[in-house]
Amino acid sequence: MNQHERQIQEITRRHFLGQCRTGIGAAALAMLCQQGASADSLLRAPHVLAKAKRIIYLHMAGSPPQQDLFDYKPVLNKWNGEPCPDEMFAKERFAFIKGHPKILASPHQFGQFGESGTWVSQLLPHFQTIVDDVTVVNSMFTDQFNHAPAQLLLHTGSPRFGRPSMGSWLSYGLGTENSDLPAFVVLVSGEKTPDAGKSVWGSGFLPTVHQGVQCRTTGEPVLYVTDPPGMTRDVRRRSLDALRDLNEEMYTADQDPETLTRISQYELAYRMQVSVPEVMDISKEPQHMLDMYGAKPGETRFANNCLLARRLVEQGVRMVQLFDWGWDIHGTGPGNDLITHLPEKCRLADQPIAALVKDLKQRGLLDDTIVVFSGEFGRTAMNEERDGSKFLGRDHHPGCFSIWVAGGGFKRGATVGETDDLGYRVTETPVHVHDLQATLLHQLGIDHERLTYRFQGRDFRLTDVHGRVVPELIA
Amino acid sequence: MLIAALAGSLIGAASIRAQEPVHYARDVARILSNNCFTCHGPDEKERKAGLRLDRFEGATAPARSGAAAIVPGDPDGSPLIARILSHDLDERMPPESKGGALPPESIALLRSWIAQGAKYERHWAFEAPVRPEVPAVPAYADRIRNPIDAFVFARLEAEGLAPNEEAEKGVWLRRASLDLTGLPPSHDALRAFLDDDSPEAYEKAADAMLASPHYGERWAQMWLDLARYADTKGYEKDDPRTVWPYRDWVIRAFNDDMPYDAFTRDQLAGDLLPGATLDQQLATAFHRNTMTNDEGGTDDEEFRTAAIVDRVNTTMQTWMGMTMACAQCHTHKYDPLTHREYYEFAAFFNQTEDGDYNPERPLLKVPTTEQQQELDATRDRLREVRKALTDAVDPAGDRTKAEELVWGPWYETGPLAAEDFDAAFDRDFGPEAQVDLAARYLDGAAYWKGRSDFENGKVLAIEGENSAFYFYRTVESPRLAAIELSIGSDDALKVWWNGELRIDEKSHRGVAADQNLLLAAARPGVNTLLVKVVNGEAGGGVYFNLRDADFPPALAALLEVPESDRTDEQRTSIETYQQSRNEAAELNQKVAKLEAAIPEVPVMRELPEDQRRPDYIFEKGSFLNRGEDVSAGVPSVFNAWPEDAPRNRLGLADWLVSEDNPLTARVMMNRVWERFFGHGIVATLEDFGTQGDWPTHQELLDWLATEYMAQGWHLKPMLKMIVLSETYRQSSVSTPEKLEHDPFNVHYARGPRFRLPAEAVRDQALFVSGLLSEKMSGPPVMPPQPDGVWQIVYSNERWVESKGEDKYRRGLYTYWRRSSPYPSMVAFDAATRDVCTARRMRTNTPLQALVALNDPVYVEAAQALARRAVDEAGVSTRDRAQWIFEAALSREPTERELDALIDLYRSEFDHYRENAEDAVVMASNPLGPLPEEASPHTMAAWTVVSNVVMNTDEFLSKR
Repeated sequence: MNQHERQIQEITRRHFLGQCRTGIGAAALAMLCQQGASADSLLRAPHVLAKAKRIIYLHMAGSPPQQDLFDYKPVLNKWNGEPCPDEMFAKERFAFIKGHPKILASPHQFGQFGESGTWVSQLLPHFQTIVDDVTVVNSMFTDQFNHAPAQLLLHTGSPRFGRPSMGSWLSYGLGTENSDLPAFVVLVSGEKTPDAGKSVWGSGFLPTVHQGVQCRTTGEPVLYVTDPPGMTRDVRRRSLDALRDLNEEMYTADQDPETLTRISQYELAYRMQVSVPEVMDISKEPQHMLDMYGAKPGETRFANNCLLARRLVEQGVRMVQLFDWGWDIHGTGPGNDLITHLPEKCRLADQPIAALVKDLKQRGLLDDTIVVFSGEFGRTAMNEERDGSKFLGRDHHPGCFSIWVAGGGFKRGATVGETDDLGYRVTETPVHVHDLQATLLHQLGIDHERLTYRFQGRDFRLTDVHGRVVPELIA
Repeated sequence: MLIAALAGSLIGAASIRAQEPVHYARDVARILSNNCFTCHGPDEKERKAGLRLDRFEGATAPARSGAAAIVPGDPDGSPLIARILSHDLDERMPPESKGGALPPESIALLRSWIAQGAKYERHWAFEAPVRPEVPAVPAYADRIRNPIDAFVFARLEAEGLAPNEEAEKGVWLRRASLDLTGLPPSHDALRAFLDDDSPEAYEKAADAMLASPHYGERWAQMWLDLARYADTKGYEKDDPRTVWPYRDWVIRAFNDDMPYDAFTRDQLAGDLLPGATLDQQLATAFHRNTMTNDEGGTDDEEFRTAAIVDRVNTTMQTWMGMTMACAQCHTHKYDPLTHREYYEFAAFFNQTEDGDYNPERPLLKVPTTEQQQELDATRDRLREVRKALTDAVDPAGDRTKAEELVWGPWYETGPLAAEDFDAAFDRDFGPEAQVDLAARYLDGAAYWKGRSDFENGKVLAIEGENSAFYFYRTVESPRLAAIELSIGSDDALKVWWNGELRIDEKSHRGVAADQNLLLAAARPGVNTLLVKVVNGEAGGGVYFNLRDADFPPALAALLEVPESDRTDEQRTSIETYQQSRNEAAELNQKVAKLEAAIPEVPVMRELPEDQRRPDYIFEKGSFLNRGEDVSAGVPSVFNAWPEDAPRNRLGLADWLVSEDNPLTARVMMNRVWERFFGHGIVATLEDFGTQGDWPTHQELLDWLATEYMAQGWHLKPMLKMIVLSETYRQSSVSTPEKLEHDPFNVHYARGPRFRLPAEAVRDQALFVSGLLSEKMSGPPVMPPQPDGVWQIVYSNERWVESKGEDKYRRGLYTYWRRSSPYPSMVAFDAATRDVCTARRMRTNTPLQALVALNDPVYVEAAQALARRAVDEAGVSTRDRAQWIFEAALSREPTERELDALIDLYRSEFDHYRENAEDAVVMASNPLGPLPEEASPHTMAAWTVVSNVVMNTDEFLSKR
């Protein structure tokens, strides 16, 4: 076992390590504490001054069109329906557009809101009320134009499978603040998991203890957290007591410290059986809170997940990752077009998102909690018109897109970065996906170049060999 | 604020004391490369002061200043040390901008190294292993069973550690059985072994386990992680891929103890072997386990090159324990692998036909044994039937083709209504005696009309209840020919051929093709066909087609003989011919169906010479940036290319398994060692390069590697030697002293003890409960999985729980979906198989506890174990508790352990007696209803006890 492996084992051992009830368990804890690191995280102190402790990432899977929500481009109206300039398609690789595409203006109105005068689409009336707590970034870009690779790049720093996701890195680097809950929780709505599957919250080569734990709003909140049918909590308690007796007997015989860890992990599991369902139960929230989010207990909906995100970070979860599927606005039919579908998606997402930011703020959590809203890439300024479709829609576009960040030491009421008149390429303050990652880690007290993990003989990090902290975003 | 994230290591550089030999490659290179090489390394452009420190010549030659940086043997006289120690910040190396002062341990190492002569030796792993002498260890002479022990005990003696006593027999058997077969010993095997006092007992047991088919299943798991085997293609759609025949090939290869050189050749280049067998071609699926991206709008070339990169990394990783991934974008920072060499290596894999296509190609049909047997039998029968055809009728002579027949137009008359169905069928309305197209029937109400809309092969609708319809046409033939007509009708049917009634079918039916077949002789010239359809109630219809005309003339001659005049022999010939023909048609269909069901597996196939792709460097690793051209080759730091070897994958395989290759045998032996002892002799299984860990027992590793090759690359003898060694037989009991001296057991003063791999955790639970299916091979199965785990975009794939014994198959047969692997397996650190995985982590988490406590699979196993105990053990509580414990753990419980179980049983017995409904559920959901005579609260209480035993640390571990 090399030094690295030892350390991983140590971190793993302590990752969830809580209090043991009696005798040998307490001795185990004491012994483990003597053995090595004294905290359950890799970083015993931050690399840089941490502004934030936790992060909520709202991923609109499929990628909403920036021209219709945040990046106001009146010039598009002038050219609407005209063939786009050659340079916009000649050397580009598109997923679906064929031939010479035509410019597509946004069919939705824009206005300026808040003291900051931030431009926002009419589709987001609630977002209009929180703009002064938010930094809109119109100059994001990526290098992937297919969903799965782009989502992987966004969450793992690489377009290929096999790398740890940002939440796993945070769990590995910062550990958890609540040993009764996982450090990294994932909530999914829109009926489907993201295109890249569970790898976008996978732990890659990091120990599996760091992978995102998907909490579900129907069925068991965490897989296997419920006792088997016919077993009461009392039976479970008595059986775990017997199990502890057997394990202690084993420890007396073999004296393997791992046995002590096993004892404590079973005790933690027992506590999680209570703590997880409790935090996941939104029915105890007051009615006005449910109304504020538009949440309905017992359903799988994005609004519920926003409320849960607040409950989870309140309980010390390090990262809450929300995926809402259904933002892939191609315009091949009314189910994914700009006129019918996008307003419907916005209607379902706008209110809970604004509620989340307001709720965090009123609880004083927004100062050290980052909220990010993004898709995985942008969408074209041209109408896709796949197979001559009459529905309006936009193809995938890696060259620019809009996101917003709030809280956690980011600027409030700012709009950063610019694109050209047609909203096609970044002209000012380009922010690559790796730059965003570097900046998020920075706010959490981590130097993205120094949170590394050796695998297959190479030191890996979230931002691969790229990324820079973007000072323009930071307050 | 700077934080040292990594603490010192017990076996790393920090433990090297001043007097011990310091190795450049092990101890020094890392310090110099991390701190000095940026300005004083291989890169001429960046070099400062004319000094390079990566070579002896550079470090000891006068630099621009006139002095040499290093004076071998004299650290105090070496400017290098003086500059490192300098308090003057302008003088001190490395400068603040490059990291600042070195830590004292590093400086101490540099000093010792210079004092010892500043030798720049090559990295140990790049030199071929030399068979070391087996040391004599007189102190433990009586305990040394084979050379493994000699190497290990010699080190123990040097470390001042004493080996543990041998583990109890039963403990060894469970340990070895889990290691060799992935399953604990059966009750009978344990008894037999404990009763066998002969000196050969251990060897006999080892041989039996190595001969078990479960051996292949267990060791295939190791290989499938490397091969990144999965049942789906990865990326967004992650659609199913049929590649399980490859998984079964791996299992067979291990069970057959296929030598590793052949195993290597077949997988890397089976298709290139002369006269490649089906199995050899199948083996090449190893490198078709790369992911393919079927997402809409993706660039196939992008993902083809991603697969090539994966093949390069996987090949190097699997056979040589080297990571090449760094060199994809730039020359490796630490290991002597250049950017160019990466693409020379990649060129071996750039010439295969596959290319991220959907559907995948090329594919190889790989029938299962049963499929092949059935196919062979069907084809044999087909041959017999064809022979019967020719025997019945002389096959010679001019056959008639369908297009030589000239069909006249259809005429129809009808409906000709009658009082009822029978009357309509029996009555001749006129045309039956003689067709006259000018005639009128039913007092002139019906007459012949042209029906050009009555097309061959299509149903024509007719209307009229209890009515007859006549259809008439002519056909002209160039010669005497046999023809076969296909006719269908709704409802009844009569057919006259050349005026002779040939079909008389009184039935009520819907119309379809081929309801009646008529084999008839068409004379030269005009022939007549009259069809009568009688419809009963509602609408009706008629169908007509020419089925075949391709018959031997001899058959036509036979048919031309009026039926009443035919001899028995003629009649038999016609019947035999017809029957054989029908059977042949059926057999042909069956062959087609069988062939369609044969799994088609993606395999490697080389492009033809004229379609070869250009090989070039990807600048910065991107396939869009074409750099210089390259041709296939291997990195120069390793063994030379074998003479006469072809410059293709086959030559590459030969190079890998050459006896001169420094790594192949070592890497495999190290990997195997890790499975037995929990960590490798080189702890970094995935990195034997300069950044990897130094071997703890290099001589042992080299001995194993050379022995492996001497054994003809057979694995079984090596595994047998390991399990029979005294090193392996030691008890795993630890002591505070041993923990203090060697917390991770790198010196092996005690036996291995660590958690079982994911598959074994599952397999063992099913095995001890008696649920495990021993069925081997075949398509992947879907054991119970919670609803909603699979929710996949753009895919209709569903998890459909397997039925019967397929619910209880070994873990390696579980459907492996890359984007959503089986949750309970993931909890126990199974790899996702996205990429080659040399080593799995071993974590210890509460999520594992939740799986083993609550997953219905494990609850069901507890229920089954409880039922077995009540069935098979005595009636006393004590007997049953003891039986459960022994069944699960292969040893007798201590009194305290037994008491804990008995106490638990009693409390739960009382609880469930009070809670009858819960008792039934606890004992039977999901396993199924209890036997009638069983008491629910007894069974529920034993289920709880079994669940506890199957969650003990001991059960989840190998000890």
